[in-house]
Amino acid sequence: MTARLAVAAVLFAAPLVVVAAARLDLATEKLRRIAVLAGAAMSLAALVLLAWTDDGCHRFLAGTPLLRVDGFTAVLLPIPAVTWLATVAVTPRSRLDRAGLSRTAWTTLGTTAAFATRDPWLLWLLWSASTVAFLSSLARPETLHARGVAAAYLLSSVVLLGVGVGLVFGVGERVSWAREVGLWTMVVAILIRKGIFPLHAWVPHEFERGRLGPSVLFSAPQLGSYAFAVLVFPHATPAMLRTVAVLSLVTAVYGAAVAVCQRDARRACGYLFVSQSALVLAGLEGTSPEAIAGALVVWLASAVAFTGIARCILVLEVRRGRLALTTFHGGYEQFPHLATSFLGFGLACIGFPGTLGFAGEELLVQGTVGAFPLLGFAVVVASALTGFTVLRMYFSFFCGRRVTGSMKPLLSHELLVFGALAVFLVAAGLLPERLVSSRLTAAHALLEQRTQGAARCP
Amino acid sequence: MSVTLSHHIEEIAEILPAQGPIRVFIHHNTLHAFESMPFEQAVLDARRTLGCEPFLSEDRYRRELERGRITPADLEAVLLEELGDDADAPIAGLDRRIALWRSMAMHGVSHETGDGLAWILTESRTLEHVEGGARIEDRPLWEACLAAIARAGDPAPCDASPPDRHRDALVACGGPDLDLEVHPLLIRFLASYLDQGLAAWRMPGRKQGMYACFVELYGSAITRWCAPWGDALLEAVADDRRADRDAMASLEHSLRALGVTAAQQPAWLRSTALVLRGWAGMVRQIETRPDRVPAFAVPAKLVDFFAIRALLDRAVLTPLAATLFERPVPLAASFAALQERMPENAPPTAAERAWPLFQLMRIFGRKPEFVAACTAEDVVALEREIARFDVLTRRRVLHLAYERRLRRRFYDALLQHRAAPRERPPAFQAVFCLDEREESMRRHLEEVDPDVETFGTAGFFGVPMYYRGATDAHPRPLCPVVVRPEHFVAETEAVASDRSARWRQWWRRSAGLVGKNVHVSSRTLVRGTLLMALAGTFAMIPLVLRVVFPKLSRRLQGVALPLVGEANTRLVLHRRPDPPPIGRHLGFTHDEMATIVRTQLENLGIVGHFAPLVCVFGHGSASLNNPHESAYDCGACGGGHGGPNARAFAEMANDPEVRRRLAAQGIAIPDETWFVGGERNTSTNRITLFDLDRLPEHARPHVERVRAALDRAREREAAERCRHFEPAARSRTPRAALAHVEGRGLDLAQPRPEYGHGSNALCLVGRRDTTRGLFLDRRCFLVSYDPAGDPEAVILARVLAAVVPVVVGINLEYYFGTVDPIGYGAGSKLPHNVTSLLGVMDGAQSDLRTGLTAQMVEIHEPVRLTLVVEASARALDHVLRTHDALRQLLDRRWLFLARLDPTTRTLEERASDGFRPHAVGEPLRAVAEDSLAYCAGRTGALPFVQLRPPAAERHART
Repeated sequence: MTARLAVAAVLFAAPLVVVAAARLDLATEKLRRIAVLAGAAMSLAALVLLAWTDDGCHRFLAGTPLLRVDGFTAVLLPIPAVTWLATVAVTPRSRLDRAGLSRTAWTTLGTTAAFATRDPWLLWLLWSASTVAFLSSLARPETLHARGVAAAYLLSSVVLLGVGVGLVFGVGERVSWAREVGLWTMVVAILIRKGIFPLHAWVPHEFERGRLGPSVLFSAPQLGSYAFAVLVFPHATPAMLRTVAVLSLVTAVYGAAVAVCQRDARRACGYLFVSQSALVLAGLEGTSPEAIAGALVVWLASAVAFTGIARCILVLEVRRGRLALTTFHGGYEQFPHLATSFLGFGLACIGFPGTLGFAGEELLVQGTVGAFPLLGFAVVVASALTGFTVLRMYFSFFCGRRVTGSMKPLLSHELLVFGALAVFLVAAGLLPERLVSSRLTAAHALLEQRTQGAARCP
Repeated sequence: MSVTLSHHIEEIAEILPAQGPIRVFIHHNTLHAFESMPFEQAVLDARRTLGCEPFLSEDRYRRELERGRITPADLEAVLLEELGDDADAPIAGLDRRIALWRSMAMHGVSHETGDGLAWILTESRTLEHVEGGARIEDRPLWEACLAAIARAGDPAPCDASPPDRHRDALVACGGPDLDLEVHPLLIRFLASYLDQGLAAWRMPGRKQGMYACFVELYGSAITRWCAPWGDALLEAVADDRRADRDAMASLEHSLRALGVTAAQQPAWLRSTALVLRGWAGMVRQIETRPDRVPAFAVPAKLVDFFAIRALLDRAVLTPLAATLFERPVPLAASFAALQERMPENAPPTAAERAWPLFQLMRIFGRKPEFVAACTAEDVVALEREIARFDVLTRRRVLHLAYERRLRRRFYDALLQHRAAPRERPPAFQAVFCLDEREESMRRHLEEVDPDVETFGTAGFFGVPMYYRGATDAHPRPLCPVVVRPEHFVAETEAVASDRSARWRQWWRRSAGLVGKNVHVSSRTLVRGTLLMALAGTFAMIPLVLRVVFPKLSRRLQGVALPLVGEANTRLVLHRRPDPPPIGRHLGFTHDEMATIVRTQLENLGIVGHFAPLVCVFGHGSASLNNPHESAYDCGACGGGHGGPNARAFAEMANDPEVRRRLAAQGIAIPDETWFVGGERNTSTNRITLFDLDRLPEHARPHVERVRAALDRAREREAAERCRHFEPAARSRTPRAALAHVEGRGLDLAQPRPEYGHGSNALCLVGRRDTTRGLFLDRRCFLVSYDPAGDPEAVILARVLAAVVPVVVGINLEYYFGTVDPIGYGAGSKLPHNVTSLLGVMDGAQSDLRTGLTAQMVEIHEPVRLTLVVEASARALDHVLRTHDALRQLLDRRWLFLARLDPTTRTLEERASDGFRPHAVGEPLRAVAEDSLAYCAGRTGALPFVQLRPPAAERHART
């Protein structure tokens, strides 16, 4: 327990170190190095916790659900850590500033803390804080329009979630209608935050017109899915789950289909995220342990893979300007490693054998088809369509005529980050057994909570 | 107006790719339309027109400098020639112009803009350098350069030419991409209309012509749903039908409707054709050479293509014009309105201007103080110098040095090499194609049997014909592309009434019928589903065999071959009165045959000394799953196999009546001399000899000797070739190497069955003694010519007229395919899909990809051909005076020419001011080993050497 506590301390202390360092008079590049080290330490700590946590629940603040790690949350903790590491390591110098680095640390801390709590009010608070942090990152003149759109959606989701939490956990025990209304209110808030059809429009818009780095940092961990699993799933009626599941599956196919025909790489990336994120929600709403376990694995795999894809786009953009998918940019000769990594991330997204996504997709398909014999195949369709987009992006970015002009190769830290992400996805895909079995245990626990009808630690 | 329009279309047709259907891939100068310009100007002009690269990248040349393929001496010589008297002019107190240019060529000065420059300045460690192990901050120098640029004043304004097409103007104004709307429909239509048998259903109405077919097809109500602008298309088509317009009238009408003025028409037509240049070029090829179409010569004209394209543009733009501007604009005014709204080109920023200056100062190791001391005039002079020696000029200069180095090495080798004297008269003679791939075969054959005498000539052996093999469905021309054959020759069963022959024919037809039906059925919904369910698993068997066990697959095919393949066949070579299916005559008369044989023997120089056996080898290449298979075949046979030509030539030379006529003309072929035709597969090295059942008894021992020598030679040649393949293929024994190359040709998944002409660079027209025993690394076309027997240069003129178009075509196609494999070439084979049996597209839909694939040019060094002719000055002058086409090519530097004097053994290179003598620069190394030992363990292009195998070894082989 002591060792776990120490590791958990690293998990939470690492972003705080960066926040503290940002207050000192350090050069931005030096602060970035500290952030990279902190991100690496945090990622390592999260992976250690993932390896140690099989099925038990470990409370770090005894007697309260405020900070705890169990089989369900352990798989989520590496996501903000890895996303943060990739963000601070790969963001170009020209787009770095101390305030921005500090903001990324706060966001990561908030997301990690959110994943480690089941307290509804604390979760709502962290949900709101991460929203504010994201919106504040869009303060540049060129992103003001994107901020306006995002604010309209996300602030609504903050308000709706607050109302929902109040209704369900405040007066729900006393007023009969309040519980159901509160649950539906929370569902709408989650659908907005996750960009589920028909409330998805802000996501591709943010990717296209906003800032890619903060968008990924905000979206990839999928706090909405966590809120659904913790706040809604244990109390939701079957009709509610079914409605959300159908919407998620439709969104998964819709997002992937629309991504196929996008002309702008960032916008395609946004729709891919919509699709991937919907797949996770669809799995969580399945009532079988396979679907939930699949969703958990896909959650981890797609978050890491998606972060990799988005960072690849950013790395190319900073060297070449905005990328259109209607032309071929011929980058393979300059960036062979990036091309290979991109393909690896893309294949992990579609559940290609040999990647972590494969294990998740297998379970997800099995579980979803069990719950929705026809509509469940939407998972397969969405993956196939995602495959089209990924290959289209690959061909556009890396095939075609060789680019003339001076070489702008990957920098060593960029190479290291992309390599590490790709190795993680492949290594975990080749040896998925431990991860999958522990997620199945976590899925059983989640279902047990649902049968008990309360978000209690087993 | 239509006359003018027709004239414009004819002009534009010239710049379209001249590649015909892929089954008859013919190597030609990719920039044939630019041959009226000097080469260096033509490639730059083509860059502007076609958007393709003129030379290799600067990085590549710099790597060649680093590895010694280009020497500083070559670069210096080229720069001196380029600059002339300006070489020593001082520039802004920095250095002499030649030093400035040399440094820029060797180190490069890049121009960066926008995000690229921002990345360099902020992300990379460019603004610092390492000196004595310490990092030196260069920011002060950068700041000094920025200040210097500020002193120099504003940059010159950027000129921008107006866009030629609506699409370009639309995209520049931030509008939608018109091509993305038009191309899917247009490509689908073209592929279906021109289809030669790939589709299960034939497009109706093809006999009416392309435009009429389009109008009929898209005149139906269903057109409304074919695209968001379907209504507008239907209306445009209906309008044409009401007015009864033909293609030309429709094009005129559409251009007026689109607001394209008469002055804008040439540019509009050119840009429109070039954006789908593969398809437009194919339409043109079918229009002008319907005889080269594989199956069905559909009526197609380039004007139809333009008329359809213009109709589609109108259809897309009509609804767009109403919404694109603040207020609705008539379609005819939209082009001008768009051009007015074009954003202006932004001048370069101070950082973009300072960046080249900064690099230059760093190359010369100047301090910030030096830059600070530069006056505004100095900075302007330096900027001007950098602009003058821009990246294109640097690449051109580096390329000239790259070519110069190889040329001079070749000249040095020719001047210093002396072939070992022949000890006995030849036991047999072997005539090969002049192809540089036969250089190695000839060399190895001479090494394993020194008593052979080899020759090289254009591989159609002077027999231009349409040919249909016993198992072919359609005839095809076998001759250089510039020749249109008049004669048709068929291969038939030797005894047509023979029962087994009838059986084979029956089996062939049945197998063809079943194969076709299975192929077609597998692509239909119901039958395809049934087939997949019933026999899908079995389809795995041949697939796995062909990929994993290609040789076993071949052996299994061999079991079935006697059932369907030809066994004992004959050529229908002699003239018959029946009308031929194509061409003018069925077979040749004896007079025609005698003329062909005499001309060839004179060209080869074997009029007076015949060996008992003369083998004539054509060549071709066979590989699986390779749409570009024809590109590996014989260029002199129009991308076909040269075996039938060799066979026909041998049969003509053996004909007693022909021999009688030759004797009357002074060429007496001894009775004991027998000609045997054959064919070499340049991929698998398999060699086939034809008509051995007709072999006279006295020739049999000679044939056995030839077979033994060929068997050894092809093994050794395979081993030499394997060094270019992947590491696992190298370092094999000759026998294993032969097995390996056989496997490559049969491997369904092999994108590189061989490298084709991927090393060509040189051509020698002269005696074999000039090069026998010289290792030329498969880089030299070898054309036999004996100057001793040609005092009037008649034969030389004939040889050069036949050979130069072929070798220059091959050389330049490989040049352009290498310097820009995507623009001039077809790109990588991997995404290729065969379409319409005419060519390949990238993926499911793209322009028709013409030219060589990237896999074919991987080992190629792109250099212009160096032609060395072994002839007297008088003879060569005479030929150049009379051979306008060759002289113009030389004057415009599309190839280089040198003359090797047969008497004095001196060599002169042709320059703009006449022939200049060449002095030996590098000694020619002699190695005491044969080709195989010299190549062993080496990769890449090898230096030319004189091979001197130990005498004992040679004797043992003999």
